[in-house]
Amino acid sequence: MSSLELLQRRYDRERAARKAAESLLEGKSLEVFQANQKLRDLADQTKAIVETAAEGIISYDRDGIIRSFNRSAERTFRIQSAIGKDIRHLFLPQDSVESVLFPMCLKLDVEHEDTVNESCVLEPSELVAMRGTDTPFFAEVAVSRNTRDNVTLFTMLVRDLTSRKKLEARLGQAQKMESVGQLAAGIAHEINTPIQFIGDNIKFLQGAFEDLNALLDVFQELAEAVAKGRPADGLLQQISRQSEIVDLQFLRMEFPGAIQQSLEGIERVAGIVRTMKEFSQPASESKSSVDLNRAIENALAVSLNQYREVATVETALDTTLAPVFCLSAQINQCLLNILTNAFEAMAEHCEPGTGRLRVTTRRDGESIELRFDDNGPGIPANIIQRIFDPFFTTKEVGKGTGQGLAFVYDVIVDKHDGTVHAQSSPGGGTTVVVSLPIAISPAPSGRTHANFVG
Amino acid sequence: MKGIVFTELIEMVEQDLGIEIADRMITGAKTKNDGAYTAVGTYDHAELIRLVNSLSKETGIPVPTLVKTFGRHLFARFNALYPQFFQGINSAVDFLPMVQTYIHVEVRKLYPDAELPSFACELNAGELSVTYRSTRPFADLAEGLILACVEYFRDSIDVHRCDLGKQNGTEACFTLTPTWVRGLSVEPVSCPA
Repeated sequence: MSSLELLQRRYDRERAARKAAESLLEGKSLEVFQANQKLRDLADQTKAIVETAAEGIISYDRDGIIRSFNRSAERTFRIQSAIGKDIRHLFLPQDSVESVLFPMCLKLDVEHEDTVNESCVLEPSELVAMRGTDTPFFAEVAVSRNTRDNVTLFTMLVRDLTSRKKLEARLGQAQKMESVGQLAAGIAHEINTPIQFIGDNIKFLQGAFEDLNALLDVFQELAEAVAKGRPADGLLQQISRQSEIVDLQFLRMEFPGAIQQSLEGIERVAGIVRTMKEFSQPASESKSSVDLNRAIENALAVSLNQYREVATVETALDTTLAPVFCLSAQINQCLLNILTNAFEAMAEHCEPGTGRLRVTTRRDGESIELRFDDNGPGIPANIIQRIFDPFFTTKEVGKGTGQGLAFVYDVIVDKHDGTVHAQSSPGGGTTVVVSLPIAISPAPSGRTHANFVG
Repeated sequence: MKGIVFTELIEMVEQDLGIEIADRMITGAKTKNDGAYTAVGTYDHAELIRLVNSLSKETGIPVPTLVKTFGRHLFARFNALYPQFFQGINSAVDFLPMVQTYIHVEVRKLYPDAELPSFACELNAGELSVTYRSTRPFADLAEGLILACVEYFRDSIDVHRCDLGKQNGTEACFTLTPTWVRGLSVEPVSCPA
């Protein structure tokens, strides 16, 4: 074959190869166009989802510089656009902010088990955020962390809790008023008794005073007669007769008792009114120093009159206990809920007067322990794990809301970093143990409860 | 198999043996497209085997020798076409582990459907073992590439090959022993029984 023929053949091959390459490139161009189209559609769709999401969605880098900020976030924080700003500026400076905003991953993503690509999503936390420049509000934030090719990006979902907090506060207040309402009948009786004897005493004093008034008139006449040097024998006889009529000796003996008894009755009524007032006052958002022993005595005073026929109460309160820094109104409500639960259980299952409740307080390391032992029927093993669940109740429909012990759990564990658990024996009797740390940390770690069946 | 392997084979033959041998190789192989390969295309690897067999018939050179030589040629071409892969590397012992972890990753960016062989590397006391596994019987090509790599870096390294599996060129282990390690070793490298 000549060189020319060989070159011609080579040229034909090259030309065919070029055409094949051009055809391939056209196909690839179309593929790239279609892929770009799909990506654009996907990006538009993703952007629309992010922009119209009900929750705020914010992404930021490891320095906290905000990369994206959706419309809900703009509404929630009342900022037009926070892109380029520091995410930290959207929240009130608190100890827990940094660890919530920049979580460390504990687990690598299963599909990317190398150190280059990792992702993790953490449990939501509550932070105090800033609306505009000067309005703080509670926000629930869930942060996920994603690292790809050594670039870390955080994505935050933000939910404004303002409405929920208001509803919770209203629900809490409603529950409290419900409890107060339930106790009102018993309290009316409790107030009625002293009012009754106070009234009797005052009637007695009124009648006695009318009698004494006549005697005092004679004494006045006697004084005038003596002053003017007139004979007074008749007046003295009159005084003697009148003294016998009014039974002066008896009155002198009875007056102090009647007055003292009335004052005590008034004090009892005032005490009951004071306790009711403490229980019905709106819950404060700020914590204050609370004497738990006094809180228990108040709760017993409010609840016991309703169950006086049911059970006797014994207290062993450690008088050296340090005060606890807590939400006083909510702790009061917890104590009332625990006591009411115990009394109701004993009322249903014990003969009148045979119920026994023992309340003890003691210091346990850095916490204060409160124990409530009753001799009620106990809690069956199959439900003891659920008694702190919201809406769980063993009472018939309409009798119980299932919120009492759930409220206790929320306040003790979630709001005060404490613990609460119940123990029960098959033979009956329940012990509820509450532990409250004396120094409460600002960011509760969510310690859990555990229940035991002995 | 990527078209660059075919175009480079034809170029190597044209360059080293002349345009006529290349034409006879293509004619003898009876491939679908009569040798009209493009570097960006993808072709059946069986066509490469037919081309090499045809070349062997034309030249009388055994197929393994031709494939190894082609491996050396390919390495030189890769070095010329993709110098960025070689920057900052001073030894075959450092370069070969990057074939799988870096170069193949880059190849997949351009050709997501590329069916690439596996080059599992293990460094033990200065000695590097490279285990080649592929659905295609090109252990000879891998050997040519590895030998050219050692020569390129002017490494004083002994390369020992053990065929694995069915001994049909789809699996092989290459042990690269630097001479300073060889001096310390009492046991010579041997293939598993």
